[in-house]
Amino acid sequence: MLALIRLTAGAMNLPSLTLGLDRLKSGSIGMSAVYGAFLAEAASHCLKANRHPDPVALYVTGDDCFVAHLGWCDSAVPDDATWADPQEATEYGAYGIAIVVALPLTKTSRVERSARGPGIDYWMGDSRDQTGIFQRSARLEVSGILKGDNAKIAARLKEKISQTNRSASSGLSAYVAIVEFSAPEARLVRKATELSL
Amino acid sequence: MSDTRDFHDRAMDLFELGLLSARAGRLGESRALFTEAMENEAKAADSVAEDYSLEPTRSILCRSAASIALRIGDTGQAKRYVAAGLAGSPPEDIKEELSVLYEQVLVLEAATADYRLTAPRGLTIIEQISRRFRSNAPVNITGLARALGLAVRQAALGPDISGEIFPDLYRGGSSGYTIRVNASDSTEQKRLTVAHEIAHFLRHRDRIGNRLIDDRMYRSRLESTKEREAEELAFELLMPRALIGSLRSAGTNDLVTLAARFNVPLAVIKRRLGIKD
Repeated sequence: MLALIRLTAGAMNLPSLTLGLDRLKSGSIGMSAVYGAFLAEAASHCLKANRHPDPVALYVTGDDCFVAHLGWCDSAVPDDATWADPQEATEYGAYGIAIVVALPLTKTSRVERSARGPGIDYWMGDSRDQTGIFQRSARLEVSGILKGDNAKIAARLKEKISQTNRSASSGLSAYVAIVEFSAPEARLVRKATELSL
Repeated sequence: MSDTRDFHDRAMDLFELGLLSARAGRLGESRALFTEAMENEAKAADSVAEDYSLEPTRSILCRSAASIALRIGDTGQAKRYVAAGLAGSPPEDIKEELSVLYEQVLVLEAATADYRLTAPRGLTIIEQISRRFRSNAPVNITGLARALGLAVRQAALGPDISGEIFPDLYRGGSSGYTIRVNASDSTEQKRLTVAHEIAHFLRHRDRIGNRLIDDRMYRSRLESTKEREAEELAFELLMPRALIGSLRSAGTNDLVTLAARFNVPLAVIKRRLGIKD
């Protein structure tokens, strides 16, 4: 699928967008600047480990298809010792990229956070909504793959969607994002909510 | 609502700082940040506690407060916010997450309970979980560890180390602890190490300190009697006597086959059966 999109991107002028991991460090998207910098650093580490240029062409697939020129600040990546655990870097790096991609796609300017398990649960929604926090928000479920092909991305997406199945039946909507770093791709899908009357 | 928003945003900022602090290994500082985060999230949850129509806001804030409370081992507060969340009408998935949290709180309570003065009635939740995971061979030892609230990871620990257990407020399980096994070991050896570290968690949690490291012979800074206790319990977790008995009654007596059935090193099944080389 990615190969097809790439061919299409070249031949049919797929829409493009300029994104930057710097946005995570702004302190204005609903997370603290210091934690945003941490997510950006994890993502940059994964991109650097895969020897990508800065900016890199990130293929956004799923509900929307476009090419994002993602700036990721190559020079700011610390040495490998800081990110000795590739699983940890992939997990947090995927969150960084998923949030940067999801903000424009969901037409949202901020994320909402809540504590869940060992980490943070992110929600896409309008934080200026006066009806309350998490009202009209959709959960963002993220999974990262350091090196994987289309089949692996598809399998991970299926797995994540099945994990969030309850959201559909309960009226809470969710986005599922799978971020792959070797041929950078972010696959973002909105889970349909079922209406039960 | 602006108070709720302010308390919640403050809580999450503190929570993020706590995570980064825990990642850097500053346990005391991260605990203090998580405690302050929990106090703020509790205020956010309390501010909407009476508004049962405000879902999912109400239940998500309760779940968030309970999650942070559990992370710092405050089972009382964790229970309180799980109950508050369930008292409303949470969406199905939040309700399920609250129920899972409640189980994790009960497990942590049972793991930290002092049964020396008052013996428990019936099976404790730890024994129930242990039985559930040990009814078939090979025992799902990582599943058991996770059900007990322990995160299990592997890492390059060097040639002389089998594994370790340490308090981990960054990526630990719901008990706040992580087990790490040596990535270069065989699967059988890793399974034995996980069982050994579970045994330390259940029997010697108060002695783990900042980190308890086991060498190749499963010797740590604990005295040898404690290591023998850990080995005995690890063997029972990994190779339950009742399961060995059933297999042998059914005619499986060959040691290689038994080792394969339990997915443990051959030398270990021999030790379990008291057979000397």
